[in-house]
Amino acid sequence: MKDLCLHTSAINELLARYGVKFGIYKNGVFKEQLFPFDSIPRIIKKEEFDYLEKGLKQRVDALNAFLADIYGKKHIVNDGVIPEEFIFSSSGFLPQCDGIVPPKRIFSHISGIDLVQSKNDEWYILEDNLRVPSGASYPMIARELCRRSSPQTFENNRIADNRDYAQLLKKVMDNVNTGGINVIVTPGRYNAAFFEHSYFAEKTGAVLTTGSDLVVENDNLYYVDFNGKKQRVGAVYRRISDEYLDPMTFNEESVIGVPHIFSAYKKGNVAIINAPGNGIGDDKGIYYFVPKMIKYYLGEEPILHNAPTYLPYYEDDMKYVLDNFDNLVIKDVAEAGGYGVVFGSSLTKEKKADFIAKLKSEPRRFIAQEIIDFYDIDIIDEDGKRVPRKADLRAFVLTGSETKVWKSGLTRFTRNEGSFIVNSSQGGGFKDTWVLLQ
Amino acid sequence: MKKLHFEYMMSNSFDNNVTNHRFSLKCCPCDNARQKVQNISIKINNEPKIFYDCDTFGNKVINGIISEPHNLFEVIVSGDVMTGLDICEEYETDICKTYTYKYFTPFTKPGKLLTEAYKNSNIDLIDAPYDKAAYILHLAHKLISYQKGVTDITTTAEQAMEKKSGVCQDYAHIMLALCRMAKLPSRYVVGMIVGEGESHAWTEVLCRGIWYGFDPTNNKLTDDDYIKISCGRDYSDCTVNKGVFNGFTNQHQNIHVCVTENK
Repeated sequence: MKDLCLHTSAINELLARYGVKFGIYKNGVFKEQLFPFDSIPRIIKKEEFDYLEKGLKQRVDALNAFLADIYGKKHIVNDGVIPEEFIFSSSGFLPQCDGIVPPKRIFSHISGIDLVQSKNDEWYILEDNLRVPSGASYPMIARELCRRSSPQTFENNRIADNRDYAQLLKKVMDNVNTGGINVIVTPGRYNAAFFEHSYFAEKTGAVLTTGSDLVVENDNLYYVDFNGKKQRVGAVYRRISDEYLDPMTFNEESVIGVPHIFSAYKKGNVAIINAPGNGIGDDKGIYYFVPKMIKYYLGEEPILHNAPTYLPYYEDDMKYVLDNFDNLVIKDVAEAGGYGVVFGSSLTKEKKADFIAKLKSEPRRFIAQEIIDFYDIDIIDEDGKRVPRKADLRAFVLTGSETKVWKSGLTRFTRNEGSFIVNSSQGGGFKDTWVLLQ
Repeated sequence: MKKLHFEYMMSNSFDNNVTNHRFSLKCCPCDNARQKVQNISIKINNEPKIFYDCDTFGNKVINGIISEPHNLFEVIVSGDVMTGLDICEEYETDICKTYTYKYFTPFTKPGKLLTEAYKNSNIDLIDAPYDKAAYILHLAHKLISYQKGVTDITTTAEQAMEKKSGVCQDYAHIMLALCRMAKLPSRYVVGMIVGEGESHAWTEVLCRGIWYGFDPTNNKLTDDDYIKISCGRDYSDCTVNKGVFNGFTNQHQNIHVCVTENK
C-alpha cells in the first residue's frame, strides 16, 4: 500500500486528464473542479461487508415495497404507520405518478445509501438516495488507475474487484427493458456528473444522449441518431431529475427533457431508471420511518440502524430537541447536498432564537439527529503528512432480478480538520473502498 | 336536467412558423355522475398525429405532434352534454384518491391575509363538512371583487387577496386555500357555463364521500348550466394546452366558448 501511496499525484494527474471533474455552480457561475483522490483506501473486512450487505439489501427492499405501496394502495398510511401529511405535503410525492406500476414493479433500481461508522464501530445510515445517486464511477476509474500504477498491491491483497459495476448496471437496465436499446440521458456537458454519464455509457454499451435526440411517437420512445435513423428505446437510465423529465407533465419550462415520455412510461412502453416519484422515499422526514417500514413490509427487525433521529412534529420529540438543542444537528428536509444542515452548538444566541422560532412554526420541515462522532480515516494532506479526517461511505445497491450490493463504494472525506461535511459539492475528496475477500 | 350543446374553440397563432410542435390538451368533458357527454367531435388543424392518455386526476388528455411548419394551431371541440343528472359531481369510494387534495400547492398556500381571513371566520365552529364548504363558498365570494386584468394565470390565492380582486381562477384558488386550511379535500375545476365567452373555473369539495360543486365567483352551487371539463389540485393541473415547438416567435392564445340549451 505504501507503494500505491507514492503514486497519488500521478493518479490525480491521470484523473484530471480523463476529465474526472466535478462541476459546481456557485453564485450563478459554473466552475469545474477536480475531485481530489486520496490513495489510502477505506478497507472493509469480509465479515463486516457481509453484515452491511444483508442490512442494505433489507433496507432497499423495504424502500421499494414502500414506493410501490405509496403509489398504489397506500396501506402504510391507511394503517396509520406514517402520518398522511408526511407523504402528501412533501414535495417528494408526485401525484402524477399515482397509480403507475413501473416495469417489474421496481422503483429504485440504483440506490445510494450513505453510512458512517461511529467510533464504537457501529454503522449508521445517514440518508438514502433513491432518485439519481451519483458517484460510482469515481472509485471505478480510481481502481483502474491504482491497479495500473501499483499492480503488486492488488496481487498481495485479496480485494474484491470493483470493475464489475458496469455489468451490474447493464443487468439492471436489461432486466426492466421493454424491448429496444438502453440509453443514458444526460442534461449535457455542463452537468456536475457528466464524466460519470459518459463513463457509464462507454462501459455498459448504452447510448449516451440528451433529451433532444429522443422522440415519443404512438406512445413509444425512439432514439434518433445523427443519420436520422430511429431506434426503439426500452430502458432509459436518466440522469435528469423528475421535474425536468417531461415538460408536458412536470416543469413546463424544461428544455432538457423529452415531451410525452411520461405517457410512454405510464403505458408500460419504456422503463425509466430510477422511477419518477422516488423523492418521497428519500425525503429526510420519511427517513425516520424506514425502520418502521422494514418491520411493516418485511416483518423483520432492521439490521442497520438510523442515526438516532427526532421529529419535532411529535410533541415529545420537540421537547427533547429544545432541551438538547446544542447537542443535535438539525436538517431542513427540503435541502440536499450538505446545505440546510445546522449544528445547534454553532449558533449565536440571536440566531438560535430565530431558528427555534422557525422550528416551532414549521415543525414538519425539520428533523434533528444526535451528532455521531464518526470514524476518521487517514489521508495524506497537501504537505505530504498523514492526518485523520472524517469520512462517510456511499454504498451502491442495485435492484435487478435480485437486489445486490456492489462490493466497493464511494468513500468521501472532508479536507478540513474538524469538519463533518463530506459532500463533493462542498469541496471534499474521495477514496477507493476495498472489500476484502477473506 | 338539461341538454346542452357546447363548442370550445382554442387557437394559438404564431408570428413565425414553428415546427416539431408537440402538445398536450385537456379540453374534453368526460362523463360523471352529473353529466353525460354525447356526439363529441374534436377537430385539430394541420393533421397532427394523435394519441390519447388519461392523467392521474382522471382527465382525458389529447397528445399530439405536428412536424410540418405552421403558424396557426386551432382546436375545436364540440358536443352535447346531458347535465344535472345528479345533485353531486361524483361519488368517491377510494380514499387513496383524496389525500392529495387535502394539502396546499404553490397556488393555494395561504400567507398572512388568508390565514387572517380564516382566523376571523367561524369555519371551525361549524361541524358538518358540507355546511363548512357552503360557509367557505360565501366567504370566498366576499373576500375579493370581480375585476378583469388585475391578476393573471400565475397569480396565487394569497396574491389575489393582496389585490382584493380577481377572476374565476382566483376565486377558486381562494376557496381551495380555505377548504384545505379546514382540512376538507377540495379540487380545482375547469369547465363551461351556459352563455358565450371564456371558459370558467370553480371548486369541488369532498363531503362525506361525495364531491359537490361550488362556484365562488357567482356565489352559488353548480347546477345543470355547468359542464365540467377537467379537475386537479389547482390551475396548473388543468392547463388546457401545453406545448413545445422549435421556432423563434411570439404567440397569441384565444379561447372562445359557446354553450346553448337544446330545446
